[in-house]
Amino acid sequence: MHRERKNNTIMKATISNLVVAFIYVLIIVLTIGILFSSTISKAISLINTISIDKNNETLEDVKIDLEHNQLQSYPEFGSKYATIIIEDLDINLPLYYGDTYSILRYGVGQSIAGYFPGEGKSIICMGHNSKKFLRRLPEIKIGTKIRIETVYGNYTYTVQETKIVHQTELDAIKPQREKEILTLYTCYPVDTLGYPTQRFIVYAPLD
Amino acid sequence: MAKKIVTYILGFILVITLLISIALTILNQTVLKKEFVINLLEKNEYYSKIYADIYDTFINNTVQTGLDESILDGIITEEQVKNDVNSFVNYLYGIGEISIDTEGVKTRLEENINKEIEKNGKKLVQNEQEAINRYVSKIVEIYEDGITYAKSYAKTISNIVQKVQKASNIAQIVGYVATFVIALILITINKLKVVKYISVSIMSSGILLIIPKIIEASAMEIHNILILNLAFSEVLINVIETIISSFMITGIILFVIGFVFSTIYAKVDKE
Repeated sequence: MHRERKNNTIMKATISNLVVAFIYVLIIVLTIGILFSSTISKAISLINTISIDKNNETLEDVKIDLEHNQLQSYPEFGSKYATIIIEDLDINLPLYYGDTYSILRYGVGQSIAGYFPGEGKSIICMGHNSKKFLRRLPEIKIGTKIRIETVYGNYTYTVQETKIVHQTELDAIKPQREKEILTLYTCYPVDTLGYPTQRFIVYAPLD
Repeated sequence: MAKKIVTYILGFILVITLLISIALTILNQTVLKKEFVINLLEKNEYYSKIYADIYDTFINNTVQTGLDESILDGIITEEQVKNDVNSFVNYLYGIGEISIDTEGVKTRLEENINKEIEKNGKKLVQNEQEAINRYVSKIVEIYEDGITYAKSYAKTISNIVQKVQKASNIAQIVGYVATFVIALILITINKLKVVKYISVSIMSSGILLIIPKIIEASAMEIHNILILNLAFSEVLINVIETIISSFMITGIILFVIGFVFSTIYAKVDKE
């Protein structure tokens, strides 16, 4: 009986110490919370902003809402979701979502700054000027048809204008939202050695 | 009563000084220690990944130049990347100057290009020579950026790292001295119950050190961090995880020590 009482007392003392320890913790956490809550939440949100979840959507999930001219779900960055065809120039290339150098090694890249075919706005695409890709693009004529066959539908564009600009003239590839226009460009001149500083741009509105 | 209140207040201050001292010790032994960062780079195979990344970017930039990819053969080696990265890390921690072998890259690339042009019997026009010069500059720039990410910020980052290192070392020493002084005051005030108050403070510090792990598990997606490139992200994730895990392990150990001492004290006190 005496031993049991002794154990109870020890346990009570230990619990009371634990409670005091937790009160200390609570006071510190509350103080930090009050003083630095915005800094802490900014830090957490910054970490979560640079944390990229893997997109598990497959290409079959990519569909367009025809009523609102908007994709219901988008292809994963770096995925090949379409083919770009210019029959007159014998060009038939895969079109990828994204325009990093590593994507451009495999085909034509679509800038994430633009929109998708069918969305009624600018679609901005680019490819290298090597033989495998868009070497022949400067041969294109006004009125030439360019077809984009996507996983959710096919779209045909007709070349309306071509232009040669310096690489710093970014206004030439600026997206707009009024009309669906395909902007396709490559480095120019195409048959030179070294790093070309000009761009050959094709503008082709949707038929 | 007044004595008791003062003891609790000192116990509370002890929690703070202990917490700050331990947290700073962990930071000084991890992210603020050059050797830790170099070991982490080695462990994560950072050098070979960065070498592959840089080489890949070289190829990406060569595709549209009309030059053969073979001109890139041997212009950089993994060993050279390792030396240059280490030189940059040393610089950030205030040791030596940045020495990146950009001249070597430039010379080897120009030699390879000249051989290639000679082999194809091509005569360069002025425009082409200028374009090749721009290409060589671009490759050198890619190499430098691949090693340093942003060389222009290196000086600023290095200054910040060194200031933080210095401040953290001083604060750590001050923290431990303060902890020791408070413990001494507690002994003076209440010799009999000092173990109780110190063990409570140790337990509190332990619990507080575990909190970052709880926040990480519930509110942050550290494993998915993607910044600059995969190799850099992996190192960054590892740094954050090492710090949080060290906090947690130290926190658990402190809590157990505090709890054991608190129980022993309660037992001795009863007897």
